[in-house]
Amino acid sequence: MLEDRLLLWRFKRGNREAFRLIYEKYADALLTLAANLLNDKADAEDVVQDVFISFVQSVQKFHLRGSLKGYLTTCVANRSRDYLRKNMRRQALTVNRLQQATTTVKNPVQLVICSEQLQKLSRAMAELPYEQREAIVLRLHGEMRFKTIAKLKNISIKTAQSRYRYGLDKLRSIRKAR
Amino acid sequence: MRPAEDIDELIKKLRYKANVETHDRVLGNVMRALDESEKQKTGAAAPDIWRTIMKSPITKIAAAAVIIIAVMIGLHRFTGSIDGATVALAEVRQALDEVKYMHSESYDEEQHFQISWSGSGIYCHKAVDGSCVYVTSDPDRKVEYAPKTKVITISWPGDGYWGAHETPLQTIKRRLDHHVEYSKRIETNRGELNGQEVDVVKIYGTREDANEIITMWCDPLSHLPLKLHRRDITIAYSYPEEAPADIYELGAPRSAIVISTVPSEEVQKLLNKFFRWRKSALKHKNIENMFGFLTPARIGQIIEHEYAQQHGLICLEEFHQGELRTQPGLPLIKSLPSRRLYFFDPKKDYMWVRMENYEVPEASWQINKNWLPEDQRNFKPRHTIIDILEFERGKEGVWFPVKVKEYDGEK
Repeated sequence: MLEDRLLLWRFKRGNREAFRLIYEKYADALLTLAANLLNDKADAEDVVQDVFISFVQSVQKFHLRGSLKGYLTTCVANRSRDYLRKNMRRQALTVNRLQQATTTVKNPVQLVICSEQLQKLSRAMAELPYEQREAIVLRLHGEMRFKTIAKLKNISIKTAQSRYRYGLDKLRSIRKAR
Repeated sequence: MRPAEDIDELIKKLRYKANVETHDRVLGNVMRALDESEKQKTGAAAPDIWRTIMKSPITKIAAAAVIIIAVMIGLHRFTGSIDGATVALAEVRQALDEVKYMHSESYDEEQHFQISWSGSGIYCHKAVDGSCVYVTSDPDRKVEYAPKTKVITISWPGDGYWGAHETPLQTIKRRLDHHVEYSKRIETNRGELNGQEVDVVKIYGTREDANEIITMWCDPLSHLPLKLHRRDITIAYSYPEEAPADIYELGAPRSAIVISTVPSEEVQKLLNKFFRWRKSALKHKNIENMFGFLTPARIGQIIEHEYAQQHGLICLEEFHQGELRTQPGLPLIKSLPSRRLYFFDPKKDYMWVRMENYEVPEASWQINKNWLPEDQRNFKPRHTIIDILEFERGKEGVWFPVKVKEYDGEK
């Protein structure tokens, strides 16, 4: 964490190498997070790129209170949600298939999935309601506590835990059905 | 059905690892966005660094304090590694971001000292002779108390103070930034200061003196520097929640005479435009000789003037008391009381395009007629004019003087 603060500090003072180190440290984790939330590789890259652009543009005013990873994870979660909503609106305008847009995998994530088992799991994840998928991804990939997820989503801790639990149950039943 | 733990583990394996091309592309796009952002920022006025060395004894010690930090900073060259000592110093620097006010007391071997407070838009200090300075950014005011004359002078620093000076707190922060970036060898140990356990940061060797040792004592919890020592100068720091509210709390007596030289809002606006032009112009061309020494003194008033009306200019009139100045190697410089007229051109970024100076012995506006060591009647009145005859426009549209003529206004 202190290393992050030092990197951030150096970047604030114009050291671009420090930003590159921050990027290299977190880019893959953030891409994983976004890809699992959005189920689309290209969208995930767009979201992560947007998050980093906002970050560098506002870094002079940025004051790190917690961990940098936590901050970037929150940014990706928020932006993924916005991204999905925006896409839903766009699709709703062109095709009246709102329901389909929220549940259908439009372009399966090109994850580094070696096994068929993981590919199936990825598809099953895509079928989860967004709130449940988000709770699972933030917990398992974002390594967030339920308390943090609750605060981020402005819900109770119990709701966050329920979403996570129901999500896992649903995943199990989807996989079982197949 | 698999146990939940298995699903957890499987989900964690859903990892996305982008290829090198993807990372290059994303990183490239982010860097381009950063370039654009920085370009836009450079369009706005950037703050100047400390350029003005104040002349008071107080400031000399303040400067000495700054030099300590400056020298300390110059020791190290950042090697790219993040060692414990660098981290310790980074923590000190970071802790300074959180303070509201920094209070410092500086002592040299002869026990000369200054006491200062800086932070949150104020800077003030007082010296052993009782002189005090209190500067605020909002409102933009400099208040000075001179114990010899028992006079408090309130002035408008305008662009000239906060734009060109740093407070000790700002300076330490900037220097420590530099220090963290370029440091090479520092040692940190636990020690004691006034019975309290502290972190002792030692810096060995400076650019000037390889055998020099600088010591900084820092609070182990807050990481804030409590004391700094170099050669024969020691500075003690503390971080109060409050600073003196005004010059009286700083030590000036309420019986002191108060003189205000703050110009009208209208003049402040005009001069701010001129200062803005000067700052932009100085970035591109050295016009310091002309506009450094002949800069309005922030005390004037806008008047109707025939020449200004004829040429679409704005005339600022200033009255000066006259002064005696000493410069190393030169005889005493005597400037008579003077009336100065600056003619600003709104069509040329508000630079002045004419300046008239009337030097008048025994002028009616003089407060003290006995200030000169010799009879003022021995001096002849003078009227000089400086006209800018030719102009040029820079790439970014900033106007510059190209041909300047100075002549006797009576001929």
